[in-house]
Amino acid sequence: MNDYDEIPIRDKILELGEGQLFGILCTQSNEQPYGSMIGFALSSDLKNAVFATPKATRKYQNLINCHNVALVVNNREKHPSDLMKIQAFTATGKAEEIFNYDLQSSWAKLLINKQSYLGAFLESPTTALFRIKITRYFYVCSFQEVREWKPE
Amino acid sequence: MIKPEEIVIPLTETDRCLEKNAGGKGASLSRLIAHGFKVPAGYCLSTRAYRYFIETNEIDSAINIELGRKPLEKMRWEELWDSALRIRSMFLKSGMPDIIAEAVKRQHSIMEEFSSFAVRSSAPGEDSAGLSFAGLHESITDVSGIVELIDAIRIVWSSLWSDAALLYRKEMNLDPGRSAMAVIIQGFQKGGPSGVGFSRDPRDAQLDQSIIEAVPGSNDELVDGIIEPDRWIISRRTKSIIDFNKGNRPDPDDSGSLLNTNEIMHLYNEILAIESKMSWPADVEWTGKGAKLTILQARPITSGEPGNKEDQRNWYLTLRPKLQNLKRLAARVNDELIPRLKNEGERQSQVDTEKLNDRELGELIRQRLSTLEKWRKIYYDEFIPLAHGVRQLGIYYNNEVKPENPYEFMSLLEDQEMIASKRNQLISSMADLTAGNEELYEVLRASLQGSISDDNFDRANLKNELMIIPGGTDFYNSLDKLINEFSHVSFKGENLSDNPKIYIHVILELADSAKAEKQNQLSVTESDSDTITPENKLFEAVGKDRYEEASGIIELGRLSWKLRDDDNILIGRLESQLLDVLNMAGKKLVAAGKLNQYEKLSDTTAPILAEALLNPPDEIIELPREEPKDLSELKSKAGKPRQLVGQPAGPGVASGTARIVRNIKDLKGFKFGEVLICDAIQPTMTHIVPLASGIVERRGGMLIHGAIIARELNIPCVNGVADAVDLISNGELVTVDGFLGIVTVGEPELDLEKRAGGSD
Repeated sequence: MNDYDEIPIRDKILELGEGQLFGILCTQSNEQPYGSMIGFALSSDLKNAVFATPKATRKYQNLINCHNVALVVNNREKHPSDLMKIQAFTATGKAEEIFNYDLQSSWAKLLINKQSYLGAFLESPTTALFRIKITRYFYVCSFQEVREWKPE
Repeated sequence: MIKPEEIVIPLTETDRCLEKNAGGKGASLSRLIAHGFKVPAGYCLSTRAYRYFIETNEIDSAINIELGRKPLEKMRWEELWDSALRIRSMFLKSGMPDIIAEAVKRQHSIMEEFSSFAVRSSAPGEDSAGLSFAGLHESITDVSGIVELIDAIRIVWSSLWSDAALLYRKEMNLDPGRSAMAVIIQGFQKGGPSGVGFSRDPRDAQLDQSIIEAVPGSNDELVDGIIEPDRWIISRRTKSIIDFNKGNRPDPDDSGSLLNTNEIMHLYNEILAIESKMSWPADVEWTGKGAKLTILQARPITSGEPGNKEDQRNWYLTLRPKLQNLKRLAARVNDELIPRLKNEGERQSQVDTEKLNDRELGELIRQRLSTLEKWRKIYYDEFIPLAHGVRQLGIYYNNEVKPENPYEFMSLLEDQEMIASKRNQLISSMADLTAGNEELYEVLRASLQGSISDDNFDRANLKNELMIIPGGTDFYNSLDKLINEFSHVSFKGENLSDNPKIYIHVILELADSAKAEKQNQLSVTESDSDTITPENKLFEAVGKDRYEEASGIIELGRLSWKLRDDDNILIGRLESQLLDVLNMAGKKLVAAGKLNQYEKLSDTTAPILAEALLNPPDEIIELPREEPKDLSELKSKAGKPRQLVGQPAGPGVASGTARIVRNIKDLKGFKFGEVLICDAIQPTMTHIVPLASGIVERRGGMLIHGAIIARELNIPCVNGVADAVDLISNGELVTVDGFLGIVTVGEPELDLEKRAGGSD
C-alpha cells in the first residue's frame, strides 16, 4: 500500500521536518551553488524554516548576495537496503536575516525549542539568525517519486 | 519517563543492587550487607536516575558538543579542565527533576536518625580489577539538609566528567559517552579512627602479608595524604603483626598507636573475611574500632594502586590537590622558592662574564645549566601544582554561586601586580610619550634605519640623540628600565634583551595606533558600578559563617595566579643568562677555529660547548641540528584550511592578516592590526600582543597565558586550534571569532569555480 493514500503529504513533510535535526542548506553566489549542513526548525504551519550561522562564513556571504535558497532534509541511513524507505524533501524559498533578536523572540525560540544546545551559539553577536519563507516543498519517497506541495 | 521504583535502590536489596544499576561500589556494599558485615545504612540513586537527569536537562547533547570539539587524545589537560568546568557548571545549574527530588526527600525522612550523610560516587566499572577510578570521582561527606544533599548529588554526578576522570578514560580508552553514575547515600558516621586495609600488599601481591593504615579522624585526610597514618604489616601465614610504623602527626595527645593489638586483629580478620566472601583480594575503607567497626567500602585491589607504574591515575589525582596541601605549597612557593629564584637571577647577573677564561666559562656553563635544570624540576613539581589554586577557586565559586558564566570567578583575579602587566604598562606609557612628541617619534623611527631585521642596534648613539631632545631623557630611562628589568628572558634560543629594536618597533606601532585612535575614538565600556561584584556574590552565597573560608580560597587563587605568571618570567631569566654564556662560548670557539658558524644556540648545546671549553678538542665540534618540519606533507594531508575550530578564549571578532610567530625573528616584523598565530604566547612575546587585532593559539585553555592577556586587552582570541601555526600561512586573511571559537581563513570567494569553467 502506498503511504500517500493514507497520510496527507503535509503530515509527512511535518513529521520528517520535526524528526530530523539537520538538513543541507543550498545557497549560491556568482552562479556557483554551495551546500552547508545546518541545524533547523520548521514552523508548525510549514511556511517557515529557521536556522543560524556564524557570520564569518561563506554560507553567510552567499545569503547576503542571494536570498534564494533550498533546504534538503532526508532520513537516510547507511544501508543500501534503506533506499526505498528514504523520505526527503527539498524546500525552496527566500532567506531573510532576523536582526536584533534575543532568545525570547519567536524565531529564536522556535529554533531553540528544537535544538536546545544552540542557546550559547545564538547569543553570540557573531551569529546571524535567518528564516526561510518557504514557497513550496518537493517531497520524495520510493527513491524517485516526487510530489510538490505548497504551504498555505 | 522514569518510574519511582527505578530511582532508589536500598542497599539491602542485593538482587537489585547490580553493578549496572548501582555501580561497582553500590554492588559491593550491598553484597557486604548480605554477608553480614556492618555497613552504614543507606540507599543507592540508580544509574537510571542519572540518565533521566541528564536527558531531562539535555546535558547529554551539551556534553557531546563539549567533548566532540576535537578528539579527546588531542586535548591537553588544560582544555579538558575547561571542558570539565563547563560540564560541571551545567550539572550545577540544571534543575533536579521533581520525581527524583521527591524520592530523595522520602528516603531522607526514612533515615531521620542521621544528622548528616555521605554522598559517594559509584560508576559501573569504576572499581574492577583492571581499573580504579578511586579518588577520580567525587565523594562528599558530612552533608546535612535536603537542599545541600541534592546539590551534593549533582556535584557527584558531574564528577563523572571531572578533568582527572576524563584523562583516565582517555588513557584507558573508555568511551565517555557510555558512562553513567550511580550515587550511594549513607548515614555519615563521624569520629574515628578510620583507615584503609589491604588483604594483600598492593605493592607486591606475592608477599604473603596484609597492610592496615589508620588516622585519628575521617578517611578523607588519609586518602588525600594530609595526615600520616599509623601502619601495620601483618603476616598472613602466622597471623601476627610483623611491623608497625607510628605516623608522624603534630597532635601532642596522640602518643600511642590508634588501635591496640586486639582491635587490629579484629579488623584484620574482617578484611580476610571480606576477601573470602567476595572472592577477590580486598582494598577496604573502614571506620570505628572494636564493636563499632564499620566497613565504608570494599573493592578489588587493582593494578592501578600506588606502586604500580602502569597507569597514570595517581598523577591525575594530583590535579585535584586538597586545600590544605595547596596552602602549604603556596606558602613555600611565595616565601621561599620565588625569593630564591629571584636571588639566583640577580646573582647570575652580577657575574662579570667578560673576564672569564675558557676553563672558567666552561665551568660557568655547567653550573648555569644545572641550576636551570634544578629550577625546571621545581617548576613541574611545585609551581604547576600551585596553579590549581585558581582552579580550586573556580570550582568553589561555581559550587556556591552557580553563575551563568562558569568563568565569572576570573574577575576575582584581576588587578594583580604581575611582572608582565608592569612591563606592558611601561611600554604603553612609552608609546603615549612617543605619540605626543613628534621629535621623539622621528628619532626613534630613524634609529630603526629602515630595517628592523638588522641586529646591530646602536644603543649608545640612540642615547646621545635622545638626550638632546625634550622628553628624550625620560624615554631613554624608561627604555633602560625595560631592557634591564624586563628583558632578560629568552624565546626559542634568543634573548629579548639582545633585540631592543623589537621594543622600539612595538612602541612606534602603538604610537601610530594611538594617533589613529584619537581621531576615531573607540567607545570604551564603562563598568557598571551598580553591579554586584563576584566577591560579594560569593560572600552572600556562603553566608557569614564561611567568610573566612571563602576569603582564604580567594587569596590562594590570587596568589597562585600571580605566581604562575611571575615564575615563568623568572625562569625565563635563568634561561636567558645561560644563553648569554653559551653565545660567549660560541664566539670564542668560532674564533679558535673549533666551531663552524652557527645559526643559534640552545641549552641542549650547553654540555657540548662546556666540554669543548674545558677540554679543547682536536677537531671542529658538531652541534646537533634541528631539522625543519616538513609542512608540505601536513598541508597536503590536511587540505587547505577554510574554517578551523578551537575554543573561544577571548570574546570579540577581528579580521586581519595572519602573522605566524615561531621565533624571536618573527616578532620583529609584527605590524599593528595583524592576527597573531602562534603555538602559545610566551611571557617573552606579551609585549607585541597589544599590536594584534586577534590571536590564534594551538595551546588551548581559558586560563593559559595567552587567553588571559587577550581578555585583559580585549583582543578576540581562539585557542586550542590544532596545527594553527602550520596550516595557516603568513599574509592570509584570517577572521577570529572569539565568541564562537571559529577561525575563518581566506575570503569567502568562489572565484576558483568560476575560473575552472570560465573559458566556455
